[in-house]
Amino acid sequence: MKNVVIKNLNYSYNENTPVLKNINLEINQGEYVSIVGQNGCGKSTLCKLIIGLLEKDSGEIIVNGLSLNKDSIQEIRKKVAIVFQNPDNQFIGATVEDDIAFSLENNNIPREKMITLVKEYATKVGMEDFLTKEPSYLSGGQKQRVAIADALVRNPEILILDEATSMLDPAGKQEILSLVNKMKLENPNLTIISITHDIEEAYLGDRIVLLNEGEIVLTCRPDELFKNSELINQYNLSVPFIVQLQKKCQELGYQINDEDTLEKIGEMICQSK
Amino acid sequence: MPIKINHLSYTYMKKTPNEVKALDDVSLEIPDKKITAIIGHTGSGKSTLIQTLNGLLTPTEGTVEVGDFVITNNPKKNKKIKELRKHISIVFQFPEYQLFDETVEKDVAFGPKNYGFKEEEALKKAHEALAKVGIDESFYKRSPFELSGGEKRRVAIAGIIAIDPDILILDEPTAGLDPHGSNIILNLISELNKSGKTIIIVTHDMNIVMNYSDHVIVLSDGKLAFEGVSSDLFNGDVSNYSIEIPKLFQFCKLLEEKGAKIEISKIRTIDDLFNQLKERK
Repeated sequence: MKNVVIKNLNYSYNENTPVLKNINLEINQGEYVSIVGQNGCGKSTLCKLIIGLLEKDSGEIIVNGLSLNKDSIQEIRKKVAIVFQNPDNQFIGATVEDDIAFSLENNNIPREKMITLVKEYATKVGMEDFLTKEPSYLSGGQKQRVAIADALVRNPEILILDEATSMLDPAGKQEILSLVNKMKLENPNLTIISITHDIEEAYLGDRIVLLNEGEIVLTCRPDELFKNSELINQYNLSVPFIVQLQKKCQELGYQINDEDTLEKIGEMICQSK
Repeated sequence: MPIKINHLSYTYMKKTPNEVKALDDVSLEIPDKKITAIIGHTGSGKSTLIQTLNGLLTPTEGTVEVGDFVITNNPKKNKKIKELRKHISIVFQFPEYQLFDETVEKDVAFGPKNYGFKEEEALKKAHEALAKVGIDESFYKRSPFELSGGEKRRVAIAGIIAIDPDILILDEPTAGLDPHGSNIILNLISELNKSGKTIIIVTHDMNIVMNYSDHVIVLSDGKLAFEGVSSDLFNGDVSNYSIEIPKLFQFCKLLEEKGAKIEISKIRTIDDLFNQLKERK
């Protein structure tokens, strides 16, 4: 089933600055799609359009079979949850449990059920020992885990991660990536749209969508992009170390294959005298 | 101006139930005119440390010496703080959130004006600073709020450069930028250092540490865990510090194990590595 269908979508902040140009994209239920591209290429704008935080100029956005408009927006927002970049900007409650409960309060969930759900989702994200803690006592990674609990407790069909790890330290980032992985295993039908600059992170998805200046340049399997250092350079994506090394070796005349591991390249360098 | 920190401790909300000891008996030196990287996990005391350097926080115990300035726990003795801040400035994390003025040039001129320069001189300093960060004249009269993320950050950094401090502290200067935007900022930092500025970078990115730093400080739970050069850090046990060893360093170690005669401590980039290999041939 198609979870998100975007047809001929256009959006601009004003007449002179088109942000998204004729976007066509289909995302299947249960698919994990990474959206990559430079700052200002329209990644975040695209996500904001999908949940109706911004209004499109033209084209159509269909989420779960519903075309996005004024009448369907509330229904669609129940299906889509988003986790933003800055952990401090999305902590609303005074404590972890309040924060998770806030999501449910908006949806008229009875108190008894709410208490069970808050505990259940806090446990899912590994924050069950912090229920009564205030945000100032939490690390960035912990706050983002709470933000993911806030998102998932509403049982969405689609989870959008808008650079959700970019303000975290390596440990915090790892926490989030393994959590997302776990969520995916527990609920294979959950569709994930992840916006990221980190090529190693984008590599975790089923598919990569590369945006440049508001247009989709390419959608492909991550390893296909990963191997294409030309595209990576052209669109200013970060280049994985192995690709940099292979390129350097090729320039210097070593016989390098795409599959060669660091070990193999190392041996080749040491043997050539 | 060298910086010397002696037995520095800092406690937030002292004598309350929420007391947190963020820095615990830290002694270290930050060398003059070099690039020093400060690393450590979230909550290790990095931000607290940099805020004590220009007197935004006064030590609970111990002293901070910046050149001839001494900051102690006695607020009455810390009279020259404003003077000190002309010499040492902090670019906070996500500095673009602190832009506020109507136009780019006014925003950057705010610092020099605040330190007593006349409008015209302040604008001149602003224009010079903007040139250094690669923001040209066409931006001067634009609102800083309509710029892209990377441009905003460069404008914010220009605001600090315009004050012309001897020491620049940058907290996560590349966070949230794409690789292109990051490279512009890192090259700028490198240029500023070459022109004689002391640079202190707080970062989680070990590639930056390897490629740019002369000196590294690691904090862990408010204590000094390591002080020295990056190659010594990566060679040791880093399992407690939330550090990802750069792939380049790992590859150099692999080459060394296979018998390549390379001097890892002098390698900062892939090019450095291959230059050494070439010389060896």
